[in-house]
Amino acid sequence: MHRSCSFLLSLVMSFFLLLVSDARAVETVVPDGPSLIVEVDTLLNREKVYTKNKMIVTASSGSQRAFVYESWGRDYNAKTLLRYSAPARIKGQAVLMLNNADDIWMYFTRTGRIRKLASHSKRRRMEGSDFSYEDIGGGNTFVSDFSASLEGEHLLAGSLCYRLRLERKPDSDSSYEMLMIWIRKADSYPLVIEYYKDKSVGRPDKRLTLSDIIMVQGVPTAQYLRMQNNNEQSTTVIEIQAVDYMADIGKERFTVKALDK
Amino acid sequence: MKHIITGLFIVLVLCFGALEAEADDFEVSGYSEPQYLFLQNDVADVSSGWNRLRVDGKLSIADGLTVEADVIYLLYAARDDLYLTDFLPRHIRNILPPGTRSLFKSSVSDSLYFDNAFLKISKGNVDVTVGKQQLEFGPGYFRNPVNIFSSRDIIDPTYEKTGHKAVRGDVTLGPRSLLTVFMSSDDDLDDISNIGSAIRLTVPAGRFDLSFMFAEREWLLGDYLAGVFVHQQRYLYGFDAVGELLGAGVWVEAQYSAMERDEDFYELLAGVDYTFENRLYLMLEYYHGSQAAGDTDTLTLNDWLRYFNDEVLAVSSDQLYLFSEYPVSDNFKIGLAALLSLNDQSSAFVPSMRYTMLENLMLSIIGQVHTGKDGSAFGSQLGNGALCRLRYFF
Repeated sequence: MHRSCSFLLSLVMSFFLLLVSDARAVETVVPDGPSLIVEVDTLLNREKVYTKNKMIVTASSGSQRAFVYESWGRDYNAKTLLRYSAPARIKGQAVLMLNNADDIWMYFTRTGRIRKLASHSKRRRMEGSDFSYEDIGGGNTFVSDFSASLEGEHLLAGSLCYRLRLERKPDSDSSYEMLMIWIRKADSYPLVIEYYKDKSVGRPDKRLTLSDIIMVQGVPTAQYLRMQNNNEQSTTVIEIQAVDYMADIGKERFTVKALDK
Repeated sequence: MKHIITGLFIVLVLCFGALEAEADDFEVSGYSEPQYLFLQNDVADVSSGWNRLRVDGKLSIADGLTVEADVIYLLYAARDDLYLTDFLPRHIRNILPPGTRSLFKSSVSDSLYFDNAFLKISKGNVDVTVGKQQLEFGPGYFRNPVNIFSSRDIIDPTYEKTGHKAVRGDVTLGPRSLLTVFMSSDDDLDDISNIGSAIRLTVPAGRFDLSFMFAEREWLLGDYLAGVFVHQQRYLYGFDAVGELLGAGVWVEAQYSAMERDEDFYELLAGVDYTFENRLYLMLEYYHGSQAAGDTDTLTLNDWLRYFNDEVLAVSSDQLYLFSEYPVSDNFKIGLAALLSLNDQSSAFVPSMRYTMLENLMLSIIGQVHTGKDGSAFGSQLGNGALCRLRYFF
């Protein structure tokens, strides 16, 4: 009798413990906006990164222009250097962005001139493309300039995704009032980013789609980025031709003087 | 002749280097630029057409050792002689002695020359550049008071300029800090008698880059009535800063020049720029020069000819420069610059258009209209005209 009661008691205790642990497991799995956007930031902004890119700009008329540039990032993209290698018109031209694109210098090859640009230049389009310097060199702007909230889950491109709303903080100088980001639930990698300069309009000014995501040195990396400009009916595609997260990128590369090297 | 031989030698070295080096260690690029311009006033009607071929070569000889050079071949298809006196105010022009006009004739001819040719040695945070090179300093767009080695064309400030023979050292002290020293001469290599020098320190201060500069060089001021150049040393103490305030880009340049013979003088430049949400770009610069005239009615032959020959930056002491540019489409930009003298309220307008026709084919059209009364800083005597430039890059 005594043995039966002990057995039953242990059975009940085990069942109870199982319920509690399962409840705790469910509780820790549910993320929130701030934690998710930090994960996104960690994926997109590695300690060092080198990429070689081909950018194709398609105007509303259908005409196309192609650019080739290399970019180096360091300190989680707080420092970014871009250098164009094609077309010949801008070959050698370089842009240095420090402090998450708050400080920008541009180098012009033929005159040897290095010009410091004010932060309003961040909203300038890179060689007339649909990517602004803010889009390319913003670094941890998702975390520093926006407040994130989780809005729900959606199926997108065959992947279950979280949808995040990012609202611009009052002291931010970002040109976007709001961003909507869809990230893969499995690894928090972004698939779509919508950019709103005025959220009351209800339609994003631009929409970025990231695809052809492969693992590179253990980091999920989109090989194909497509920015659709809804205001001008133009698109810009960036094809990442090479990426290296282990590249030897010294801090001496991110100096104003190094722009003319 | 010596320069041609020197140039050919360098080209041969580059070519030899190209054969020896791997393909990605040697780069060749450049452009072909046919251009036509005309300029008219009440007495002059000048036009000129040429093709300018620029070939750039860059050879990486070893890690930290590069040779760069660019050759310019200028071939004229049409050319009129330009007489500087035709662009003087009428009241000065009319009292010139007979024969004076021909003394100030500016003729051009086909030419082949090295625009830049230098050896660059980089080791750690030190770069040494020896040869003909660009000496660009100062954040100003239309003018650079702190730079007494290079000057700008006020109508087309971003156009390239010929390099200067110099030995230059740069020490990178930080991401935004730089110490530069150089010695420069525009004399022929086998007859260097006048050497200028400068030291410049750039340091960050918040969102600003501050630069302090000392430069000295022989300064030639023409006494055109006597027909001589007055030689004297000029010692420049300069400061410039570039950064931003309230979201707008701001910059200043200031220099004080101690002159060996003439009166000391100073110059100030202050600028601001902003890009609006609709991508309209606006820039404004204010210039003040103590050696320039407050009353342009007092300007003499010497004042005007010194201005035409880039011996002084301006004829009137207080000037405004405004520039606006708007990208109509991805490959078409229109711009308008206005040059204003606050002393005599004269003005000039410089409309511009830049069209990227193809990936490497760009068309630029720049006009100039001087609306001020004859004899004023931007008076009608300076003429109206336009240039049309097609540039094909390779």
